[in-house]
Amino acid sequence: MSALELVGVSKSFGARAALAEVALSVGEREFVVVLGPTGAGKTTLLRTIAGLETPDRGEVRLFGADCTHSSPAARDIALVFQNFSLYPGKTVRENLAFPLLAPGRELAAGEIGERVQWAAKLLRIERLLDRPARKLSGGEMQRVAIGRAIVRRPRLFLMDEPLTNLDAKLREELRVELRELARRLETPVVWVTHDSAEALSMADRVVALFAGRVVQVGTPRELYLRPATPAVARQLGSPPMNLVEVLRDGAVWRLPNGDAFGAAASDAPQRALLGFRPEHVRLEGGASEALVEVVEHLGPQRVVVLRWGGATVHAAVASSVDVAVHQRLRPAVAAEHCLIWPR
Amino acid sequence: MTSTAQRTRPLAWALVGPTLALLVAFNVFPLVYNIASSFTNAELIGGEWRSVGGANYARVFEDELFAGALRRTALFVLCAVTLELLLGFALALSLQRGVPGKQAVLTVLLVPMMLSPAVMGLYWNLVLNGNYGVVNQALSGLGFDPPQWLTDRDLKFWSILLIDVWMWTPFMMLIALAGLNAIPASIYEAAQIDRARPWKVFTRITLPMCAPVLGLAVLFRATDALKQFDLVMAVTGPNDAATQTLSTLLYQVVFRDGSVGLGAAFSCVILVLVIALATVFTRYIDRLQSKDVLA
Repeated sequence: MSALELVGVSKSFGARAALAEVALSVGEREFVVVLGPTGAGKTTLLRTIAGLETPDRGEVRLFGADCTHSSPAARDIALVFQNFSLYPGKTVRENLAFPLLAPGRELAAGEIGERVQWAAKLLRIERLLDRPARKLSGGEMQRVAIGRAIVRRPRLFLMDEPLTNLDAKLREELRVELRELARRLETPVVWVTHDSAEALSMADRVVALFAGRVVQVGTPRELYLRPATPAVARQLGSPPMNLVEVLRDGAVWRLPNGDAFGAAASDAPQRALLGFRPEHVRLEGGASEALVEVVEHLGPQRVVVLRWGGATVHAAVASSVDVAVHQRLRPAVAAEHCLIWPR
Repeated sequence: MTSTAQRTRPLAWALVGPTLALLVAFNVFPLVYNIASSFTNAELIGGEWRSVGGANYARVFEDELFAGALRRTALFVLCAVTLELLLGFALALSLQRGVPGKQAVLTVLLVPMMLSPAVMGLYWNLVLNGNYGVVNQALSGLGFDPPQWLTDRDLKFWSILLIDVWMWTPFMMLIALAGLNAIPASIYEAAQIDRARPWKVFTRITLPMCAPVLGLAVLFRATDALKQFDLVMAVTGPNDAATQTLSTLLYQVVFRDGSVGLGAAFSCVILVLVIALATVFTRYIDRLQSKDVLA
């Protein structure tokens, strides 16, 4: 049985369609990342699952039961907001205990204390318990917000860009911690983000959402290597996939200014968008010349920005490779690494 | 070599000077003059000023009128501000929840606040008039024995209070509404997901997050009600024992009786009381605000 199932969910705000026929299923211990650019409908999707929005059409099923019209309280799932949304003027302890004081949860005071301790220990915020929520740093606030979600042991976690408001270092740290936490709690997670690193590093499965539609579903590796659309290709990976407009001239792809790019199959389309990852660009052995415009040092690798046949192409090479700005090279990309989208 | 501070000093004085001169002329001088005259037998018209020592102050503390006005003003501030706060907050809550024609309702509610208190006093004089007022006509039409709102000794104070509440409740509502709108929706949504009871949401989220701004509104209204003058003047005049407030008493003493020295002593005592009250209150608001800022 899947923990969550969306069937043909659509939602519009006035004339704007936020979600269009979204289908999605999340397994009982699965960590699913919904990846999409700003305005793709990610937050609306989460709010619909949480019950804060009711879909215009379609069905929301939780653990086999139709929950499309049940209230957020009845769904027993937790939502962590991007802006933390802690209860102001209360201590961390009070914030953590708040969900446990809800009607119908009748927990003994001792049990509430235990649960709060447990969550605080798990998130390493024990020393913050008696601090007022407003005196915390961003990272601490987000831990408390997550703590407030886990204390009541919900059936499903929904996370709305929980790391977006944090600085880069903390983001990397929490990414690892939260992935591990989800595994330990054995609770499914739907995690929404626009950050490709989060999708690649955390997800069991990635759902690519563009303009309210699910464009592709698969493992991070599948989406990285075989993106279904140029948009998915650009959303995943840093630097993102190169996308170059080409024309076929017999057995050769030609770049915008007519320079040869590489071999084309005889059954390939006349006009196409070629996609290839920066790490698949070699800096020698190609059919035409390119100019090095920028060299970026990123530690283990270097990103070389090339002006090649009227197009801009990123190449990722090992740091040991010797390359300098204004140098002329003959780059090449193997045919098996090129994705072809007919134009 | 001269330092920057030295070179710019003349400019600084030129910039600050006019304001300083105005402050001295209109704030410091009157204050000092007032304190000085409170120790004299100064009269509004003619007469030599003569020092009388603390005699004026002795009179203030023995004066029945002063004690009465003080008690009446305190009662007025307490009742008016409490009623306005409760009604205004309730109105804001129901308006925020979404009322059909919200904009129109808001506009209508704001009208009393925008009119001059003197006009309001005259208007209510007509409405509450014992013989031909709308209210009493309606009441006698319904078979009641209509009260004399503005002339009955026991009633006129409360009539003025009623007018004040009618005028200033919209002000409280407006500020409360701003406070309510400043609470992020996601906090309510988090509470909804956490299954919080509505009453708990109100006491744990709405109230504490609105408290600082409500406290500020109460401060505004309290200082304003403390100097209640125009409504009383318009409805009953300054020399009515049943409605005399500190401000109208002061007016009566200085401008009708002409006792400048005694009036000055009155106003010095009032000043001390107001400063004490304001200090206590701002401390309280400071504490509220440091406690309940958005997390």
